[in-house]
Amino acid sequence: MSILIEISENLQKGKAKIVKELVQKAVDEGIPAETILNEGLLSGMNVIGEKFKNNEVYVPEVLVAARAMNMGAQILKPLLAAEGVQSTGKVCIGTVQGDLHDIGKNLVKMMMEGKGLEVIDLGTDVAPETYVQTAIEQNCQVICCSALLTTTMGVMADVVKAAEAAGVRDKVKIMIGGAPVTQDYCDKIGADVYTSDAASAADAAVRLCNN
Amino acid sequence: MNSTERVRNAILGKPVDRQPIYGWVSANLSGEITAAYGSVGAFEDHYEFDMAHLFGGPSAFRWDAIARLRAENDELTPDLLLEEDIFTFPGPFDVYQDILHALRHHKARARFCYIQTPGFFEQFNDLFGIENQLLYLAMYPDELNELYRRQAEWTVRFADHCIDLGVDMIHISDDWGAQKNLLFSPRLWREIIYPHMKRVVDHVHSRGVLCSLHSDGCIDKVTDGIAELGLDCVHPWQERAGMSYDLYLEKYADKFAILGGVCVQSAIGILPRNALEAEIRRVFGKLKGKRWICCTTHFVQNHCSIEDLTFAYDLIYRLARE
Repeated sequence: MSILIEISENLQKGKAKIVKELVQKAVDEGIPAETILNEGLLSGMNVIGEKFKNNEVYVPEVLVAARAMNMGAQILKPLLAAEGVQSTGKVCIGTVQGDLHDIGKNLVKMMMEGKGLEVIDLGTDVAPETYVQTAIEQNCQVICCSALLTTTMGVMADVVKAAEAAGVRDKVKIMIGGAPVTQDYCDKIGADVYTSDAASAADAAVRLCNN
Repeated sequence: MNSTERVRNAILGKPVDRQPIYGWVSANLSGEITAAYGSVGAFEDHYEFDMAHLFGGPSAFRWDAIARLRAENDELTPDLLLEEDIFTFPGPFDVYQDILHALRHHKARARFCYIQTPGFFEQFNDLFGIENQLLYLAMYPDELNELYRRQAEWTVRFADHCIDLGVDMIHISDDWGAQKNLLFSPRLWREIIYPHMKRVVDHVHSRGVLCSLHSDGCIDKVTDGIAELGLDCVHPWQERAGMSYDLYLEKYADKFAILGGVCVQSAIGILPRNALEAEIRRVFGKLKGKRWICCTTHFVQNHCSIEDLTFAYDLIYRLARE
């Protein structure tokens, strides 16, 4: 079996220690870091993402796979930088102001990283201006807003307004998601994309970054 | 028929003289309710609530032991907790004074009183955080299984104390659902939640008291298991998260009751009044008289105005008596 397939399969099983060892072995064998990333780590995370989207695996399996991916990615990070490898795109993500729930946001972040996106995590309780300022300063193509509560989802509309006020609405796409959020709400506030699960959010972000 | 009899009958699928009603109204709106009605209690009296949701009692954990473990280790993992006796004994009676006080108040109104206690997943979220615990479910299933077993023994003793005080139902709060699916697999649920839940439910029943579950989200993959557990009532059966009322009526209404129907995520505090009225009438049309207690699906959120809350409960009060 190819070492890249082994990396992918062990990542899917959440075997972090083995993934780390295999990534180091692949590097030692002279396989380019970008190949290890794409055909080993991201390939495995893609499988997990699809299975999650299809309700074949659950949050614990995603978390343990993401943990394995991060262990492998730590080894590759300096090598990727040295090779001049660019990420698929750049996203800033956060849970909106007034809302401290972060598991949904963290899942989306993991799935996006599993697609090769660079993700700036703004954490929870994020003010509208912080999303917009970060997107401007860090050249993010996408702002991604999460909310669990009906009491806080209104802040998403403020993020759209803040992007308009800063004059960057045509340069940055705004994605929204979370338990109370719907496509109707997305249309109502003028955001660009609503997705109902983490894996679909990652797919959508890749599409937005590539357009 | 008084409220306790009415609710008990509704839960057991026996005839009732009218639709029982309740609502989780106090957590976010107590100030507004007090300003409009004098107190939350006055609101509950005004609408003749049939139930009372009680909280209180001792903490399950010995936080001093846990603080020491945290200080000694980089990460608090389930294996570390197995080495310590982290559970308190759920007594003595003096820490149950709040429950006793609430029971006296509500029993004077003949209300059906249920006491909330954390379930297995929910209890350990306090210790690990939800994301870590979900990760540990994949990494430490055996250790968590043993911790949940110990938790079940604590819950049994807590339930005994509450039953001795006179509560009518033990309500286990354990969020297993996300918006579209379970948080963890049905296989894992069957292996490390079900046996301990069964221990608690069987014990509560052996004392002649009912036992209910609160779980938000979509839990349709374990509803057969919920029926097997013998749980008497499920809150909220969240339709917005894909829990179909038709499925309940077809498959589960002969097994357990549901408490809910007034959705805080998509109806009360969200819809304009004409749409809210239509929604409440729709739910009454579907569920009234069918082993259902009308209640909010969670705490009414603070964007609900007192006028909308009053509008909703005026309608609920009327529909319950039609």
